[in-house]
Amino acid sequence: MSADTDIELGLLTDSAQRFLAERRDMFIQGAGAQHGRSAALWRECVELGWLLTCVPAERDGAGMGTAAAAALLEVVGASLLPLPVADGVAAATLHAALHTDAFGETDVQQWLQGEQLTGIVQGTVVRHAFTDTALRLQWREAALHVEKVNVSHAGFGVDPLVPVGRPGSVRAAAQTPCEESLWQAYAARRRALLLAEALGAALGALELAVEYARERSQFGRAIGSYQAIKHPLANHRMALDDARLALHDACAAIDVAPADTGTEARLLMAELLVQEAVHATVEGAIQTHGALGFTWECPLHFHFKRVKQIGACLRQKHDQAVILERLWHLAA
Amino acid sequence: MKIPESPEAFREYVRSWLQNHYAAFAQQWGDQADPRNLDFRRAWEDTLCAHGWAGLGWPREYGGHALDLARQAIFHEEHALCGAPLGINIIGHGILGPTLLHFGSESQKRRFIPEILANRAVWCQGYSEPGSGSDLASLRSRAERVGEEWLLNGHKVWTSFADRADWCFVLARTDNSVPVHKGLSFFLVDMRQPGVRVEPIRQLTGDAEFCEVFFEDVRIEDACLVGKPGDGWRIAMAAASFERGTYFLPRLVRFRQELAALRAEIAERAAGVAVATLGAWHRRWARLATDSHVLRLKAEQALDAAMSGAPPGPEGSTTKLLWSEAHQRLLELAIEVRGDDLLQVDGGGRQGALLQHAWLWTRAETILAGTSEIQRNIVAERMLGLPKGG
Repeated sequence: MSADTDIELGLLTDSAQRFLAERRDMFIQGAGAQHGRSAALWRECVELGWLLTCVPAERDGAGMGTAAAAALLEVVGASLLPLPVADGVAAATLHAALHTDAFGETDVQQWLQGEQLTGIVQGTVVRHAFTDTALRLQWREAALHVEKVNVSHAGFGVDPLVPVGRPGSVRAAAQTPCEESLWQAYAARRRALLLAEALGAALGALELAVEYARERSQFGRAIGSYQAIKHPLANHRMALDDARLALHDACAAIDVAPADTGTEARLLMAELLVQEAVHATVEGAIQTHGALGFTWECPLHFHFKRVKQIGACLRQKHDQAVILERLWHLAA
Repeated sequence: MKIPESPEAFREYVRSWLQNHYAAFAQQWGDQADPRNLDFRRAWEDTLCAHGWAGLGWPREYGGHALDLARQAIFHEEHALCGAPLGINIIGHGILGPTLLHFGSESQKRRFIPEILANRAVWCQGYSEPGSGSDLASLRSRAERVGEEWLLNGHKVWTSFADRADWCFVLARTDNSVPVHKGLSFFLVDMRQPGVRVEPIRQLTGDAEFCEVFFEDVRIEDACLVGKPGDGWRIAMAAASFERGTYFLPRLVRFRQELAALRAEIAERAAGVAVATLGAWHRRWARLATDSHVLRLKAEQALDAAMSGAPPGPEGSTTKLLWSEAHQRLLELAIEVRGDDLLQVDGGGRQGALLQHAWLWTRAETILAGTSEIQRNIVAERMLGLPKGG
């Protein structure tokens, strides 16, 4: 990465960090979600240009790589912002590549322009179901199919900040020609950015645990001076760092050759490492806090639940055993 | 040696040179061409030095080639790829040489550097003591000033290749009145003089590469003190960082080679094992391939950091932990896949013996050069800012 893009990336993540820090209390205390505030927040995020991170400069985007978007999503994850930024960045990048606005009545335009906050269908689940409709993106027969569907059974999964539901009947549909490699890039980018969000949520938990281990004193010493406490924390830090390294490597591959099996392998390895690291980190962070970690008042449980929810979302038909078996075959 | 301009041409040049020379060399040694054979390793190291493959990054005025880190990395990688073993004077080439070039006096450089380049002087490192392992700064070997000389008394342990070394660099206490780190000095000690006694330690592999070294009233000329009295700790810490960027490269290449061999072995034995076992082998192999991928990315990152002149950080600890622990898992799986007869009955011939040796060696890898526990302390204290233990 050149010095210029380093600086640009620093500006992006620093400003995102400040923006989210100022609003964090609002969306954490808003567990139970008031749609009005979330929609206003979505509009602000879109106005900051986040969704255009990977859109080329000639299409009025920031023209940065997927790794830059991953860095942004890490900041988003650490703040626990309960909005579909990962979906939005991936969809906006695909939208720009398609050179079309032919999405009819499906609200894609409104969503990407921040005028409307809409949930996205992932398999049998709608995440971020703040309203009674959601968007479903699918690819078949050389075309991108977009549907606006009703949301049923709205409520909450394990994460009390992110409303979810089930996709119901189709209200509007549109399609547009789309090369398979563009779709593959979208799917891979979306997966990578969700992983980055989980990484951020876990990193936030690790920071809380480290701070607590420095300050909490027992037997006359900070508990972080005991190896039984400090070694697991060191392990989690290293696992998160390695996972990020692999994830950014996969992001670079997605930008260059999204349909390549080498790219698939690199993303699978990143997914494996992120999933391992984030679960161990949030679980360990609660343990480090002792009984305090088991309270609602301590914000750790939000990090724990965000990681568990994204983890479950990505694991659909894609668990550790499946990934490892696929990697064995890809290495042939 | 003529150094081609572009990195690609350099890699090609190194590769073809090694292919031509190593194959012929190994053939001459026949059955004795074995990584466990220290004579073989020494002879190959001599050959490399005789052809000028030494001091790659050292200044030209001291006989080096002044190659940048990227080219040094290419050499180390290609050297491992051709299957050649590491030498027995790695401590001289990798640690002592750069340390002298950085901290040594002009006369020390003129005296010792050519001997290392020619591989005439083999070096060992006298740091650890029976009472000072992880807590190195507590060491008790003493050097006292007597007239124009120093008199060294002490007992070092886990000193690799001491029985073959001509020289040893020794950390010894020269001042008891100051905090432990500040009372140490860095000496160059001739191993072929009276008062030096070396006793090999037989390891669990059956070999004896480590030794105990006893110094009894050993005289050291003042010209063999590096830096000033009291500089020892600072020099030793810097010495440990000179291999940054290249130290792990041969080990990572070896990891990849062992991984490839293991894959072939798993495929070969697939028909003879239960479906559940085979699935578990595939998954464990793929997880190790992921470790290998991360190790490569970390090596690239470390090389970039070293080349940009960033100060050494705790990233060496994180690479060492990942490599040493993953390498243990790799060799455990290799032994399992090879079949339980290997350990129980037959030994598996020469290939089996080499595998067993490599497997047993991995038990040392999480201990030597800073145990995993010490590495985790470093990560926790320097990367997370957690307090030191009481």
